Amino acid sequence: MKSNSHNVLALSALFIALFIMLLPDIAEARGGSFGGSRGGGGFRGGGRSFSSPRSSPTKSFGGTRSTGGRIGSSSPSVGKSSFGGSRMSNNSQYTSRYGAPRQSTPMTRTGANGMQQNYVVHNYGGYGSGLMTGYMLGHSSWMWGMPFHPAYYYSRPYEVVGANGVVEVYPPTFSFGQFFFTMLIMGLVIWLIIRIFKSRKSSNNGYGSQSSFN
Amino acid sequence: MPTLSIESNGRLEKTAIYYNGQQVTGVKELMINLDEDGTFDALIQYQGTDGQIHNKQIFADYLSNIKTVEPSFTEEDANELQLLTVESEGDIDSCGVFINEEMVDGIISLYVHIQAGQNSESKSSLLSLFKPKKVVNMVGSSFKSEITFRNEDNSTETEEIF
Repeated sequence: MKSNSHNVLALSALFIALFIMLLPDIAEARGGSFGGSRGGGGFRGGGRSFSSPRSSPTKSFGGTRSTGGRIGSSSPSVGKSSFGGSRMSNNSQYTSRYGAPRQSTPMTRTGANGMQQNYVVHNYGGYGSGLMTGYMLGHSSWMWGMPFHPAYYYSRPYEVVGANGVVEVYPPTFSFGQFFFTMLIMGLVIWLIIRIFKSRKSSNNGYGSQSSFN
Repeated sequence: MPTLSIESNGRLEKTAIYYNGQQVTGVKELMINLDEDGTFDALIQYQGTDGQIHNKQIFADYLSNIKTVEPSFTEEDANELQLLTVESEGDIDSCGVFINEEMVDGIISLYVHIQAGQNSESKSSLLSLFKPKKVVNMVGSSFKSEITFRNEDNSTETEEIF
């Protein structure tokens, strides 16, 4: 009975420790940097004027490319290859939740097929935007896919392919589902390890640690 | 002179064997059968530090590779346990029996047989981890301890030691 309560305490402490470790990121995802209204044009840019997503560069336009077929398609060739973002049907899904971006930066990247693709990167500041920059620049690490790294609990950057073919990119958001599911799996693994050690111990010594007979 | 002590309350879970003052572990079976007629059987079977099972005469053989541990019972525990000590050079004439550190005399026979059972559970599998906890069923365990005295009126009396 006593050891059971110790187990529960140990597991609870583990969950609390992990929760505290990720608390800054959770708080950030809840609205620390995101959401609300933009004040003063953002701290990074100072007095810079930023182009709005819809008035982003159009020099990549032209030729025979058709954007019509790609919007909403399941396997778009543009916007997916660089950093594997998540598609949104329109940017209002994101902005209605997190507000207007602090900064919107146009960017051109060459895709895997050698064609140039225009992006507009919407920066909201905070950890999610840092991750987005990492994904955009191809600086992601294998550690981001590990549960001990906060990036693991974030989604991929969100993409919206505009009618003009420009891909708008929004920062990843904290995934509570992923967080709790991972905690559940980790708790299960830890519980299994404890059970295995305990069952081994009891099979090695059927009479307890005080007896000379085992 | 080799000394063997058994500290117990009659249950295997609370039984410690001391050989020359050191608590031993890995014991599988212990049998002491002493009789005033000259019977002197004192055998121990244990799993040694080499992982092998050893069968030895307690007072005649050297208990090689026997595993020793720190004493597991506290003074408080010891108050609730009986301590039987036998010291001998391997024969009945040089044999002294002590119960709770007091020498006893008038013994006709002493019989102690303690055997650890085998866990009847099959090998634990991954699925068994999810099953509710069962009481470990140790099959074949045995704990007998009897001492027979001759009283002053020549009557005999048999008592349980632990």
